[in-house]
Amino acid sequence: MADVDIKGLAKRFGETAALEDVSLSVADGEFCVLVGPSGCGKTTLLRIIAGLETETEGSLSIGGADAQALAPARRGIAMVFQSYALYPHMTAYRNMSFGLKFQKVSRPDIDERVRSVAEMLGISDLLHRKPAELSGGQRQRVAIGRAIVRNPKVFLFDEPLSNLDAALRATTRLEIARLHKALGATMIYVTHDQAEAMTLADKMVVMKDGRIEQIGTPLEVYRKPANLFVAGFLGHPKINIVTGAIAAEYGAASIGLRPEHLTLSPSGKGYAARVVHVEPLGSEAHVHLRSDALGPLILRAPSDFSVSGDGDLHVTFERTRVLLFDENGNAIN
Amino acid sequence: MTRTRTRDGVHPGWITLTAFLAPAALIYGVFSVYPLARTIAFSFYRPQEGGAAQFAGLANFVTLFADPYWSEGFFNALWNNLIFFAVHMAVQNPVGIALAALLAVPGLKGRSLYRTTLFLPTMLSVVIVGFIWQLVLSPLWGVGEELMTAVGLGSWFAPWLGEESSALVTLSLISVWQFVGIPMLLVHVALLNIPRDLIDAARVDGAGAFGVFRHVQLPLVMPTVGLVSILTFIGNFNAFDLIYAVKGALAGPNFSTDILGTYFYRTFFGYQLQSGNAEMGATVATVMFLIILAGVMIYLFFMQKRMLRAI
Amino acid sequence: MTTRMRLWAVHVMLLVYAVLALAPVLLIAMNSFKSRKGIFRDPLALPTGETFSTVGYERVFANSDLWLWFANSLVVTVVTLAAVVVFGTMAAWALAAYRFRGRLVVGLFLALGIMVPIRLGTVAILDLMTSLGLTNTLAALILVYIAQGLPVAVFIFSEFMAQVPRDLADAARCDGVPEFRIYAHIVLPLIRPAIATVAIFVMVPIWNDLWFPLILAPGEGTRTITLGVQQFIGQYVTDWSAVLAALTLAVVPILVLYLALSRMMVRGLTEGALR
Repeated sequence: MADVDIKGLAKRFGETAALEDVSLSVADGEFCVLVGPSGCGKTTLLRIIAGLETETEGSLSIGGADAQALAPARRGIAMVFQSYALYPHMTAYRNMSFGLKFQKVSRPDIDERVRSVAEMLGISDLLHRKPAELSGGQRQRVAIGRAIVRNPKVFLFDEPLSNLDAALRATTRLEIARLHKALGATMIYVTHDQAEAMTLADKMVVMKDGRIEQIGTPLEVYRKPANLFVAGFLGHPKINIVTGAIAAEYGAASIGLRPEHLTLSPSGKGYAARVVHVEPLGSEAHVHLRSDALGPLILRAPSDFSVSGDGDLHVTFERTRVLLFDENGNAIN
Repeated sequence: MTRTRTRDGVHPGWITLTAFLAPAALIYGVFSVYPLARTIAFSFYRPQEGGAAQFAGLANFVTLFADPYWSEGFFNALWNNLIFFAVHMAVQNPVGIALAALLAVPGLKGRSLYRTTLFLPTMLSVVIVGFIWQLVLSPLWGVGEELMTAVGLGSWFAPWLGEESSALVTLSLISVWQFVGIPMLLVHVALLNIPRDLIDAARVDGAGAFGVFRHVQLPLVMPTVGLVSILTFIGNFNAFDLIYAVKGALAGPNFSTDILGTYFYRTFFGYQLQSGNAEMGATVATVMFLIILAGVMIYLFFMQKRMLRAI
Repeated sequence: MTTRMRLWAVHVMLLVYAVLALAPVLLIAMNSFKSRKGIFRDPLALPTGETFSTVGYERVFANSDLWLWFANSLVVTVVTLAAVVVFGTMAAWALAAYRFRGRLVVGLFLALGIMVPIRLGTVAILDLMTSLGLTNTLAALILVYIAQGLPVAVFIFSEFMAQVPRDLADAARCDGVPEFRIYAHIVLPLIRPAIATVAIFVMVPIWNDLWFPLILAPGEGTRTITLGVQQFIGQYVTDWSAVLAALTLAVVPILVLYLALSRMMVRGLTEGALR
């Protein structure tokens, strides 16, 4: 296992930059998630770490050794691709053992390693099948198995869950978390799904337009977003942003109010608002409101919420929970 | 317009259907299938005095295979055709695959220019190809000899096209030169269809450029190579134009370049010493048809197996 | 860096073969502009002031029906292509879009033509043409070439049509659009790359074909350019300038067509024909 250290990385194509001024340290055994909207550069960063693409400038070291001049196979990494990238003409066994041949591992050792990993992932009786004969979830496990078998210093995951249906995604997410605990390996994981990022990460790296917006633990980044983008990217439903006079009261250009921090008060205390739409989710309800003072709002209410009378309500929030942002969108402490 | 729902399936009614299918089916049926069927039928007849032909069963085939007057020429042509095919398989396909692999190297500049250039000979008329190479290889004009001397291989030059021992192979290589573009193009397209992720995964697994080609790209283009092989087979056992353009109907020297196509032509239309024989011509055509059919059946059999395994 | 070295090696190998592919043609074209002396004395040299001459071309135009041959080839090729595209797309659409009893049989019927070369039926074709009174007519060639080109064309077209989303046709049907309109105005425009691919696969073999013009239409008035050039060469075999000029002229139209369509053709192959 090893740490990954990146300093001042950039990747440019002529005028456009896919990555700019990226610096990041991943400690040994840490689960680091790169998250952001599509086109933010997270996959490019991952591929540069893997050695599948070359950086324009900056430094990269894996396990303390400079990795830039090394071919992907020599960096001690293993990668799980979004499409699994299983060799269609090889059996699951061969898919998993393929890389070991190039490492000059002996045949009996290869066999032992493949079988024990297959056992760990519960795919032992699928080893003789070809990818076309496997379900999506099974293929994914073979892809993960292929990575584990290599005994890498760092695991790289490129949106591995995005091809699975919602139910499978949730269970596989758990399995990956469990895997991390079992192997204690350094893992770098790319996703655009903020829920995945929040639940899996030890360290979360939020990216946008090729730059890092914020690094921190999930809770840190959620509770103290560095700017409006990060605040809006994490959390479902999306954070409420209020500008204008109310924001000025707090000495900020805009303030952020998480839906879970808004409460409805039955009496006349708070800001007047009227219900526009209710989304009942079973476990709770998301209530869309419109307030003259605060603008459009979303609020999390108990599941038995219902509109009474003419839908006029009052909304309050705790002052201590308010997030403050200046005119550039950056957080004010 | 309502669609007719019948037990047959959903379709727009037989009139519309026929309108769509008829022109193609008719022309193809009348001018391709019917003549072929008639030719095969024809081969079972013998001409009689007075003109009318009489049913003769397999007599023509027996004559073709056993009567030395016919069989010598026929088996010579068959053997030559096999050599013709062997040269193509040995040279055309590997070179085509190699070129396709070269074209697929990432980061290659001028790829479409190369592709266009390399495919050019395939576009040319066989007459042109035949004649150009005749000129280049001609001992009189000397271009071929001059070029080889320039490379230091001058003493190797010989009038290959004129000599019995080398004419067939030379013509085969000329044909290969012309048609390399086809396996090249088809394999190239097949390589393009391999997802980039697979190559990346192989690189991460430790395969170098050659390893990627051997373990990932080549196995995945094998179906295309199979297709190319059967197309080569069909084309070779049907070939005629090049030999005729360069050597004429007699396919000399001394019939050493005679293949089934030229043999068929001579049998049917006759040449200087002998008049044409339509029934024997039909017989030769039928035998050619059976040979090609056999090859296709074998190919389909293997394809079937592979397709069943994948399911 | 080994990647750069590798790219250089690749370029070298490709260049060698590219030269091998082009050199013979360029040699002929270059020498067609020389006088006979120039051709013989130094075949590898470019035409200089001394050796430059268009005498070959002049003789070709004077002594042969080159324009007639060219026109014949053009007529045959273009008419065949039009028919193959129209009839072929219609049949392919019927096979791809509708389910009907006997669909498999019709499909196999047409697929047979891909595997079995039409030339084998020549004996009967000539017989048929004779009884129809079509020998030595361009019509005979056209009909035969249509029959020859349809199987491959239908195959390529139906591969492409299978990829046209069914919803498009269904939406049109809900709007009450008649089937033929759907085929002509919705589906056809969507398969343009296929038409380019088919164009090359159909036109080039026709243009270059020697067999059928030789057997079905060898008469002077109906000679195609390939046959004409071949006979011309046979006749004027010692007149090198003329021969080379004739060869070069025969190559030009195909080259033009190829260069115009090649990009679309590769697009066509990558996008559908060879899944």
